[in-house]
Amino acid sequence: MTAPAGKVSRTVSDEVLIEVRNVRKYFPIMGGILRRQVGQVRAVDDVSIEIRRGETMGLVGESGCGKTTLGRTILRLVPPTAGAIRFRDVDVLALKGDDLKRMRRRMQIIFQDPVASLNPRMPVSDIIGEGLLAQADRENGWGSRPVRDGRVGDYLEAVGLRRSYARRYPHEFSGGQRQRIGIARALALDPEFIVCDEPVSALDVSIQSQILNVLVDLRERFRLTYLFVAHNLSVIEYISDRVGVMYLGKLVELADVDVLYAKPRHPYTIALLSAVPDPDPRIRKKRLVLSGDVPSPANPPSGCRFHTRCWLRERLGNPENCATDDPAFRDIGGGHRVACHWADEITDATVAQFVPRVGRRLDEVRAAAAPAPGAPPPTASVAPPASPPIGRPTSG
Amino acid sequence: MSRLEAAQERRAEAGVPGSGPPQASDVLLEVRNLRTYFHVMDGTVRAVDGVDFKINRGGTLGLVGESGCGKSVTAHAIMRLIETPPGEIAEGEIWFDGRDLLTLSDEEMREIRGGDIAMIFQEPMTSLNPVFTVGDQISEAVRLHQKVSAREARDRAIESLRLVGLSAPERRVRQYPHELSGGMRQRVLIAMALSCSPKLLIADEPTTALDVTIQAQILELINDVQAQTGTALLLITHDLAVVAETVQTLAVMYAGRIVETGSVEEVLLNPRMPYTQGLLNSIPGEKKRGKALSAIEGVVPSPFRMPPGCKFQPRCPHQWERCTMEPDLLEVGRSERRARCWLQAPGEIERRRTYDLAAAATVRDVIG
Amino acid sequence: MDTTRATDLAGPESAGPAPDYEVGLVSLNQWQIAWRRFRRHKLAMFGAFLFLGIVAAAIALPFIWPFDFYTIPTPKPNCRIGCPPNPDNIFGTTGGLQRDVFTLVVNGARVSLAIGLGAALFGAIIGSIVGGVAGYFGGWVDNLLMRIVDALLSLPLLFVILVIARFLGSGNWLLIMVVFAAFGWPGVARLVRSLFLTLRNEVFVEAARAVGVSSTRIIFRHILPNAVSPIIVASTLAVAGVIVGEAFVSFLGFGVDVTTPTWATPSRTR
Repeated sequence: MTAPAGKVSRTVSDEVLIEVRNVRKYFPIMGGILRRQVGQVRAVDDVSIEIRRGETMGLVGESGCGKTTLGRTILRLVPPTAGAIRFRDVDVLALKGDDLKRMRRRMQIIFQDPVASLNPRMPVSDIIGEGLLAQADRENGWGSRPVRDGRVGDYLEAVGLRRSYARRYPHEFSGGQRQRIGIARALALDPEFIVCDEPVSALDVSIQSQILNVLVDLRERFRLTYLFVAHNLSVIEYISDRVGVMYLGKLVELADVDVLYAKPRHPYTIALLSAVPDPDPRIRKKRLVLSGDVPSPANPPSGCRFHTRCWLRERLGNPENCATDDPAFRDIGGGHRVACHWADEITDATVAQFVPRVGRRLDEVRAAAAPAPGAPPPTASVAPPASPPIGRPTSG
Repeated sequence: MSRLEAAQERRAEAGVPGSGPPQASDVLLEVRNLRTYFHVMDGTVRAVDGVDFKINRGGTLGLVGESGCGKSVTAHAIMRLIETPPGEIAEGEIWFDGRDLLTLSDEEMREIRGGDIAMIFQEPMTSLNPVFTVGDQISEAVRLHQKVSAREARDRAIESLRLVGLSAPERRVRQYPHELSGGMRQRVLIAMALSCSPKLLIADEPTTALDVTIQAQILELINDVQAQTGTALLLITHDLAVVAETVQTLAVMYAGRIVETGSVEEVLLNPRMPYTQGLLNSIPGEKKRGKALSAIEGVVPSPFRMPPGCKFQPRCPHQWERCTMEPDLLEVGRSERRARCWLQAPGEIERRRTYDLAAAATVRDVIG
Repeated sequence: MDTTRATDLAGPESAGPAPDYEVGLVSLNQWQIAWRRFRRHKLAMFGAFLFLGIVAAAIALPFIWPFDFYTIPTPKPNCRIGCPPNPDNIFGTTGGLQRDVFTLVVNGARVSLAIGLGAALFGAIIGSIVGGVAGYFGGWVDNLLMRIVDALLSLPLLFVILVIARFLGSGNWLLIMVVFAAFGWPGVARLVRSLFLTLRNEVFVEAARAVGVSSTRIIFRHILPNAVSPIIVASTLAVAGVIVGEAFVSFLGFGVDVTTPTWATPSRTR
C-alpha cells in the first residue's frame, strides 16, 4: 500500500482496452410439453461500452439488470446473442480452441460467492495452480510442479495470505480469506483485465474493506483494468473511475464517478442514490421511494423501460413518448451519457431534493460562494467540481 | 435444559436481586445474562455469551454485528426457536410482559410466538409455504391465536395486507407466493407478522436479500407500521446505515456479547468502543476515494479458540496489557450508554484522549 | 501427518506479532473429515465391523466348513422338512437332503458378495460415464442417452434376466454378474446425470473454465469428486438389491449353477 490509490497517481490511458458494441444476450425460456422456446429473457439488450486501459469501470444496478451477464459475456463464459467484443485489436467472439484458451490468461474474473467459487475437494495449491497448469507452455514453465508451487506461494502472499496455506482446503478459511484465494487464482495468470463480479457483496463490512484495499493495491501493482460489478453504490463510488448504471438489460446512464454521484441525470440513478440508507442518524431523510418492483426482463415495458416506475414522468404529466419511444443513449456533455427523453428537465436542485449529500454539497458551495462572514469554507473540500474538463452540462 | 433449570434454581435459592420481573412497568422485554451454546463435533460454540438488554413498550432496538456475532441466535432464543440438541439455552432470563419466557411450557410458548411476539425473517422466498394462498397463510396465523370465524380471519388478512401497502388486497389474498415478487413477499410476511397485533416485532435482517430500491420501500414500511401500531421493534442487521434510519437505541454485538449500547445518535456519532469505530470506518464512500480504507485487521476469532480477555483485542489498534482481562460493559457518562472496553475505565484518561481523536476523525469521514 | 502441519504453523512463517486466531491448527481434507465423522458415528462403526466380519468369514470359514455338492449328509429321521438350529447345525438344516445351512451360508457368501459388489461396481462405472457425459454435454447427446436409459428402466429387470439366462444360461456366476451390471447402470446414470447438471453450473466449475481448464479435467477433477458421495450411497444399496435378485433368479433355476453355492442355495436345495 505505498502509492495512494487516487486516479491521479494511476495512469488511465486513452487507449481502449475493451470495446463492447451492441451486445445482446437473450436467454431462451423453454416451455410446453415439447420444450419449445416460448419466450426469451433479455438479460443484456444492446449495450455498448468502452473500457480504457488502467481504468476501473463500475457497473451498478439491481438484481436482474444484466450487469453480471454482461461481465461474463465479455469473458466468453456466456456466448452473446449478437454484438461485437474486442480486446485491444482481437475479436474476442471469433476466438476458438487454443487461441481462446490463451486469451483467458489476459482476462480474468473474481466471483461473488467465496464459498461456491472454490472447489471443496481441492487444496488451495491446486485451486490456484490449476489455471497455471492449463496455461503452461515452454516459455513460462508452469508445467513443472515446483515452478507452479512457487508462483502459487507468491500470489498467496500478494493477496495477504501465508504461503503455508497452499496445503489447506477451502473449508478451513473464513469468507474474506477465501475471497483472497479467489483473487490469487485470477491474478496468478498475470491478466490485464479482471471482471470483479460483486467481489465484496457476500462479505461483512469489516472484511469488505480489507478486500477493497487488496483490490486497489493490486490494481496499482499489476496495472490492472477492472470491470467492477456491484449493487452497492458506496463501494462503486470508492473504487471506480467511471460508472455505468443498468436497468433491465440496458445502460441508462454512464459518466465519470464524480459527475454521476454529484449530477446524476437519469431518474433511475437519482432514485438509486436516494434509496441508499445513510449512516448519519441525524438525517431521517425524505426518500424518493419507487413504487412497485422491477418488471420481468422476459416481458420488458415498451418505450423507455423505466417508464412504469418513473417519478419524473409522473411529475411531467405522463408524456407519451416515454411509453412509445426507446430513448437514445445520448451524450449530454463530457462523455456523460443518459438514456432519458427528459433528462434536461432535471437540475441540481431536483437532485438535491432527494439525495441529501448532493444537497449538503450544494449548500457548501453556496456558502463558500456567498460572502458569508460567519461560515468558513469546510476544511475537507476535496469533493466539489475538482474534476477538470468534464461535468459542466445542463445545470439549470 | 437441565443446566438452565439448575441455574434458575440456584438463583432462586440465593435470592439473587437480579431475578424476578423488571420493576419498571414500561419495560416490555428484558433479556438478562442470556447464554446460548451449541454443542458440535469440535466442541462447544458459545454463540451468545452473556447478553443483557431491554426494550420498552413501543420502543425500538437495533442489534448490529457481523455474521457469527450471535445477533440472530439471540432473536431465536427469545422466540425459543433454538434447536436442542445441538443448541442449548444454558443460562439467563427473558422477561416478556411480566413472564420469564424460559420457564414457560411449549404450549404457552406457542401461543406467544406469532401472537404477542412476531418475527420477520431474512429470506422471503422460503418463509412462505408455496402450496397455500397468501390469504390462507395469514388467516391461519390469525385463527391460531384468536378465536375468530374464518370470515373474520379473512377480513383481518385483507386488512393487514392493506396496512403493508399492497395494492388490491382482496385479489392478493387469493394469490400464491410464486405469483409475487421478492418485495411483495416481504410485505406479505410483515402483514402476517402484524395480523395478530403483536406487542413485539422481531425483524431478522429484513432487507438483506432485497435490492436497494425495494429495501427503501420496506424500511419505510417498517417505520410507518411501527409508528402506527405502536408495536415494539427489535431490528437485527449488519448494516449500520439501516439502523441509523429505523431505531432509537442500538446494541453492537461482537463474539457473542454486547460491546456497546446507547442511543443511535450517540453510538454512531460518538463510538466509544474501537470495534464500533472500526465498523463505521469500514464504510466506503466518496471521502475515502484515493485513500486506503482503514479496515479492521484480521478476522473474527474461531469460536473454539477465543482469545483471553477482550474478544476484540487481537484485532484492536488500541490494545494494551490490560485487554487480556475481560472488561465489563462499562458506563460511559450517563446511564444507558455503555461500552465493553478498558478505555472507558476510570483512570485511563490519557489513552482515552488518543482514542477520541481517532474516533472523531472516523466519524467526520463517514458522516460529517 | 497432522503433527507436521501443526509444527509448520509454529515455524518461522507464522512468527507474526500475534498468535494466529485465523485458521485451525490441523488441516484435514474431505476424506479425513469424512473418516473422522464416521469414526464418531457408533452405528456406522458397528455396520462397518459387521460387514468386514462377513467378508472375513466369507474368505476364511470355507476352509473350516467346506461345501461339497456331492456329499450328502446321513439323513436324520425327524428332519424331513429340515432341522431347527441345534448344536451340530447352528443355522439348522434344509429339508430333503438335510444339508447344513451354516455351511451353505458360509460357502455361498463368496459368490453372492462377488456378484453383488461386482455388479454394483460395474453398474456404477458405466452409469457414471453415461450419466456424466449426458449431464455435462447436454443437448442431443443427453437426449439420446437418456431415452436409452428410459427404455432400459421401463423393462422389468428380473424377467429380462430370466430370458437372457434362458438363452445364454450356462450357470456361470460371472455371466449373472455381467447381466445384472448391464441392466443395473441406468439408475445410476440418471442419478449421475442430475448431479452433473447441478454441479456443472457451480461457480467453481465456471471459475475453472475461466482459467482455461479442459472439459476432461473439469469432469474428473471438479465434478466427479463432488458427486462421489451420492454415487457411493446408491451403489451400496444396489449391492443388496443384486444379491436378492441373484437369489431370486437362481431360486427359479435360471441363475447360478446348483453346484456353486450362493446365498440362494439354502432356498433351493432339497
